[in-house]
Amino acid sequence: MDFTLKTFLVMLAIGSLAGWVMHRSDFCLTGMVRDVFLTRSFLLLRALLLSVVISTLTFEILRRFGVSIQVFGSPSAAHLLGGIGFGVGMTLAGSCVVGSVYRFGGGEVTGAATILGLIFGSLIFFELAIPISGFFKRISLFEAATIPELLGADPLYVVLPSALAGSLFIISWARGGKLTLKSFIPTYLQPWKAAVAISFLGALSIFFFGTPISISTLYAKVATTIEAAIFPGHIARASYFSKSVAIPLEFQGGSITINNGPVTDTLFIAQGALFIGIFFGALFSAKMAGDYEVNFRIPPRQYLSAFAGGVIMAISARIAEGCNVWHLLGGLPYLSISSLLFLAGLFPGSYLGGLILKNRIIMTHGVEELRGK
Amino acid sequence: MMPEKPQEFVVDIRGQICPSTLLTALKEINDHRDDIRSGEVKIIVLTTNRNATSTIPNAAENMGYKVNVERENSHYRIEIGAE
Repeated sequence: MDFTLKTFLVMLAIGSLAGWVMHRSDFCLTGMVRDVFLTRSFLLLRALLLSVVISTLTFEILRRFGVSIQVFGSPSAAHLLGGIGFGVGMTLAGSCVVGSVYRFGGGEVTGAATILGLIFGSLIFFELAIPISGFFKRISLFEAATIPELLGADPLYVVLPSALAGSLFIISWARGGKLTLKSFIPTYLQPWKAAVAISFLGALSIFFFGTPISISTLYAKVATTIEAAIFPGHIARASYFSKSVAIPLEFQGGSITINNGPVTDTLFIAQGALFIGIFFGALFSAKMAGDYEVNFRIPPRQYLSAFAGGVIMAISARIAEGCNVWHLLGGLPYLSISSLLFLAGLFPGSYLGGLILKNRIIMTHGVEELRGK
Repeated sequence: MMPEKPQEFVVDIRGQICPSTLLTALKEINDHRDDIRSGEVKIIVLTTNRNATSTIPNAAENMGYKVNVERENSHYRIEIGAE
């Protein structure tokens, strides 16, 4: 079968399963960091660690079997800055680049506002933020892209102790009942189960297409295509849009092609299929669970927050060379230093976003201190 | 003495961004805490947010309230009242 067609079908299947799982569990990558500050809840952050531990092992197994994996770049200040910005954006939006898709699929219209914001933010990045991004990318720490590279060690000697240390935490949480939340509806999927499923879907994505699950470049491509339709001369003149790379995938028998211009490439095919899959997977899940409901009567400032959050996320993801899904579910298991910097930035960003959200958007400042009283 | 039928205070937060659902519910519970504890008021939260069907009841139970969750048409109805 043709590599492009195979990529589309496989990613569509992965996306559909991911959408179903994410909707059932409300597996929110935004909440994993944000809830630490807003509601003092660590449940989703623990689920993230579980996912990272599983993926660290599966990615290494795949690498040992010769599966081609797209490598991560050298760390720079842009990853930290992008992480901070992304933290602000995702907290304001209430969901991330993937969360907005499964929520929209499940009937939440603010997800659509965030998706529009992500496309609009990509346009702003093209026109205004590329020089800023370039400046911060030049503030580089070192060439080594991963911890094993930095240590000059075989990845296995870093992967195994890291996975073991993470496993000890997970076992301790499992024994203490800290991985589960008391459920009140029969169709709720515990986040730890979703974390396991998403980890294996991420491994499948690498097995067939060489990259972890991510869809942020799709929004940039849609934005470029819209801009090219309106201002074709501008796109043709700008050097940014003429750049393209091809990453050969020997094991998979194809290549990842990435073109900044308004042309179809295999990354667009893969991410487009994931987007469609996640949307319809979540829609199917909601219909089956009987809780598909569309509500437009939402405070206008929440629409604005969802849109603005999308704009900030898109700009930040371009600066950080990847979104939260890419860095947390793909980069952290790969022991990428740029992803660790991105994660470090997400915490202050989410804290700042939480302050804006509580004081300016939903006006509930101070209530989280009431929990448990 | 607890009144026979508590007054219902409905908080309709269907479709709102996360985590507005949890924070708004907690704010309403706090604003009406004396009336809820005396049995005069029940807070009814209407939500479409699946995560809220766990987070709100767990938070309310931790505060010592009685919680009931059920699906009503295509959204969820979370009832918070006195034990």
